[in-house]
Amino acid sequence: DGVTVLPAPQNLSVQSTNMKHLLTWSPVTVPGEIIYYFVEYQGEYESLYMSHIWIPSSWCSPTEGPECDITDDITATVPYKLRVRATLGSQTSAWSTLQHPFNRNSTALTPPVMEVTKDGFHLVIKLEDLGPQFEFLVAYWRREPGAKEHVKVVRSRGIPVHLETMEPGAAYCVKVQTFVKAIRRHSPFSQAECVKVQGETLPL
Amino acid sequence: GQEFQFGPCRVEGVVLQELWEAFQAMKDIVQAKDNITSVRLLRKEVLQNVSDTESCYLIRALLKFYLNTVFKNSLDKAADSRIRKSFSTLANNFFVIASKLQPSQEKEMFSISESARRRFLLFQRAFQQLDIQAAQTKAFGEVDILLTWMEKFYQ
Amino acid sequence: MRTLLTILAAGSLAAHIAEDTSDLLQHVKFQSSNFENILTWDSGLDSAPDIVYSVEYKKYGEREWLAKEGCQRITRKSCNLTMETGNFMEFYYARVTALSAGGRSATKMTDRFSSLQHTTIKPPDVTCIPKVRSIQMIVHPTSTPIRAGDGHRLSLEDVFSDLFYRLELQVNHTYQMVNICASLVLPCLGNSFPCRLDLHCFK
Repeated sequence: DGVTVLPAPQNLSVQSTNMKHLLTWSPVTVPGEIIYYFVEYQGEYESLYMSHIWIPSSWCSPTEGPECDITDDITATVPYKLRVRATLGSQTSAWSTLQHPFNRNSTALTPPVMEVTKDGFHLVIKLEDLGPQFEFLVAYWRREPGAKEHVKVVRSRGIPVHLETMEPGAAYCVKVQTFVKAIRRHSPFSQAECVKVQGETLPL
Repeated sequence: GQEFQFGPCRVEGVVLQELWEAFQAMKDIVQAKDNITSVRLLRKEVLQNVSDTESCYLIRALLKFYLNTVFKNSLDKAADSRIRKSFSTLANNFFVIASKLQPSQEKEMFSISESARRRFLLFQRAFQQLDIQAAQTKAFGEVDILLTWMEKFYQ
Repeated sequence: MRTLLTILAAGSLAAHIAEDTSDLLQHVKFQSSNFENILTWDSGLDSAPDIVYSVEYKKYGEREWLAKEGCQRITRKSCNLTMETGNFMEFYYARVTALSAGGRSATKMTDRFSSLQHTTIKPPDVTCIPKVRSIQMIVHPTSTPIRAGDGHRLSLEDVFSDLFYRLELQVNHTYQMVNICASLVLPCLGNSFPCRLDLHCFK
């Protein structure tokens, strides 16, 4: 190792929302100099069976900013140890390790953004693309007393999906929640959105 | 959501597609290093016609062997970062599965667990007949055979 | 005297081994779609009229290489091994030996091949039946060359239990249908629209 002169990065923490995990830390500053950081990780297997092995992060070995998207590195639902060090030329800091290992099952799941439209008599929904980990549970119903709620599981992403062919003059409502298989958790439901079909009769 | 169901043993929270993607990323590199094409460790006699009840005993023995013997020494030698990343995905997910498998230890299950043990011993003996380095490379390259078999129990 | 002969022999052997024959044979690999498994290769030379090729194959784990009938001393650069590699749960190797008129030869082997992992899936055949106020689309199961124990040909649905079809309907905009069965009736509410259909088959 080079001579340790640089201070080690401090205040490591992970913000995780919808399975996107961002490791941040307080920057190390040396006036007039660019500091590079190296991020490494260790899953539960490595820390139990081969604790000397640390794996360089996919996107941050090195990186300039005091943050690192570790989403592609966290690929199992186990606790991950993470560490960062600063470098300036041949000078390197000591490693700073995240105080508590991070597990992706702690990610915050938010109600998904959706766009409900009607195309003629077709009820169509478009869902935001949250990545391959997500399935969408779409609930829709005709807004009338005692109406039955229909449910569809949608896996395709970013392309409008046909839900129903609507009756003239009726209003239909839709709400959605996400499901993440890897951590077996749901998001809360989104607010319901309703659309109404004009009253024309079906053209022959 | 999908889960593994090895007879009475249920395992959630592992996405099989993630394991396939990890293995496919390194498959050509790993399998190209195995030039003993006349030997297959996970042969038919090990994996074919395994009953549901027996599958929990067998998969547990196989995964523990991979974790303790195959993976343990492979990562040291894996210089290529693609392999190290894929390796970590497989090892940590195998670790999750193995730690959730609790096969019954009751007496009446002895004949079934014995049958699973005999199958595992076939695999282990074939492994031990090779030079350790070649054996680890071959076992690593046969993870797709293991995943293909595990896929039958993924629902 | 004997020592001299030995040196000469070793020298010529070394020369023979050292000779680079990669120009005779390159890129030996399987190309597979809907479980039709074709072995292909290239010759490194721009034109190679006098080179003949012979194909062998075997299951991973077996010792013996088997000569592929019909692909011995051929001049073309492909060989259909669909029948020989028909068990989609198995793993195979194939190798090609190229022999030039001048006696030079080269042998190259494929990577380990599994049709279950490597085959690409072609779009399915669909029959589109426009009606007065709806359109009916019949998705035909895609058969494969694979035969079951009783001899009948397996379809893609038989092989891939989680196969699904993605059907995209283009009226004014493109959107997707979710619940897709083998036959789907779509109310099209009077306007006769073109029977244009993009159907993608995914595993």
